[in-house]
Amino acid sequence: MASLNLGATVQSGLADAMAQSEDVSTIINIAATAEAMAVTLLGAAIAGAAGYANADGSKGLAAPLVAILKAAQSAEQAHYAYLTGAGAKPLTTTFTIPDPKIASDTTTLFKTIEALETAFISAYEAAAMEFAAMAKPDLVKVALQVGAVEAEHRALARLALGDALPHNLAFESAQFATVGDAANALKQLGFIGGTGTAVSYGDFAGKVDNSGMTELTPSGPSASAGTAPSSVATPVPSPSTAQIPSQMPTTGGGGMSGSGFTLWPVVAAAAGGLILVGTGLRNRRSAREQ
Amino acid sequence: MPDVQGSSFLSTDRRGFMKLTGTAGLGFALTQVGTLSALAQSNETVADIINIAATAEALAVSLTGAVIAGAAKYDGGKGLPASLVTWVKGIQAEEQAHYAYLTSAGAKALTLTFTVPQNLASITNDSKALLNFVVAAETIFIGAYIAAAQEFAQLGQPALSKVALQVAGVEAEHRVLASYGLGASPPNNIGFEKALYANVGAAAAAVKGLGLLGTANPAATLNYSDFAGSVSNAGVSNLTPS
Repeated sequence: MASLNLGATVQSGLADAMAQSEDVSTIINIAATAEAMAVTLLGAAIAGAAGYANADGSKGLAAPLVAILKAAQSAEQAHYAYLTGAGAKPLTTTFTIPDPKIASDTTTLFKTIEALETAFISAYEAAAMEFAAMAKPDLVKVALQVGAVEAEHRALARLALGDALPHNLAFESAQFATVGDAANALKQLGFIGGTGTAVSYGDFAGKVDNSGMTELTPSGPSASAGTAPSSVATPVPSPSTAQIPSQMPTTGGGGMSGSGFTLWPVVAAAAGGLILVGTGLRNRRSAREQ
Repeated sequence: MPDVQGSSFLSTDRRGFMKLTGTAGLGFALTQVGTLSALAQSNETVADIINIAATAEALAVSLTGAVIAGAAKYDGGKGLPASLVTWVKGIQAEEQAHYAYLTSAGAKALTLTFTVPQNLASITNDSKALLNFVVAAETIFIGAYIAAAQEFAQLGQPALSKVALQVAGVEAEHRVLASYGLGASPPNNIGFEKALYANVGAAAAAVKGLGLLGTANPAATLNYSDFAGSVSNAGVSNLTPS
């Protein structure tokens, strides 16, 4: 068997892992803090959706955006519930909004979400590596299951900003060596213990909407390098039975150079009535074009 | 062999979805079955895991490449929207980056020839079928990397567990964007990614079970080498794990 040239990666990773002083409790406490922060910030955005200023001067977050935010909040709350159910205690459940425009400006909101999700993904990467170094594959599994959902949120935030390539990374960024580094970053950014407006998790946790959501707990088999294969084989949905998507409202305008951003034109298929819907997530011209 | 004149992708050009004629394809395809079955039964090593992962990434590069090449022929000739083609090009670039990383680490794909079975032929000419397929395929890939991350942990390779998330996150982004493209509301409809497999071999078996790694009388046959040289990295960064 040809030798594997993974030496540098492995050595570096092992050195980092061995340098960690974080235990499981520390990691999940910080993770729970981050998830609570996400529930809170998303809840504030949802509550204030009607007042957001869009790049074109219009007001209010578009309905598809609100649906995405609600789903993201549901996922973050599910993460929080799992972590606290496992014994995690968040370091705080009161957070601060460092920039008031996060709560009032659409572009600022989604740029902030993109940045925070990038930090969360990095935190779960660090967690995965630390859990692996502790020989806790079950926790590695959950770190993957959560971290990848945060990546979905990152891409959708970029989509909301009008980026032509929302999925612009081949490998997710890895900003932190430890989960503690992620917590420090949040503090430095002013979301924890900062001077901005204070918002409390308790004000939003009871309003989370799980509509349309599944997989609200981490499921699935634990993997083992020594087990026989699972008999599970995910079937590909037959195109003939594919679910007809609900029609999403267009928000006016069309084309990237016009007065609005529409992902792609509504395409009505023939007799089957299938509609591949493109909708502008933003009402007007992309902020990127400013 | 069945007449394939109805295929939107029959072309004398090597690129795009091609129909493999004759028995060579069938014989070739069946030799891969035994390899995967053996892997699925054995204790997986790091080499096993990354070989399977490289195979999946090469499959993705090939399929996306064929989509790009045949974009104009989708939906009765209306063609895929330019914005969607941009997305598919980005996906291809990212899968190629994954393949390059794995193979530079010593991975050897189990095969670089892939098939589209008859029951999936619509992914070659119907945008909705294509997007549904992307959602399903990425779900398999995410499940594979979740299994890989756990196995790496058991094999004492924590840095590789981290890389597994760096890749799985990207596959999840592909999943949610395809979901959005289908009009799903919300497109981000899961709290936790699905962990479908107990090992990477099981994920490979799932892909094999779909007929993508060799099948009798395929609707199309794709060679990775026909597409790998045309990958565009425009707009894509983090082409190696940092």
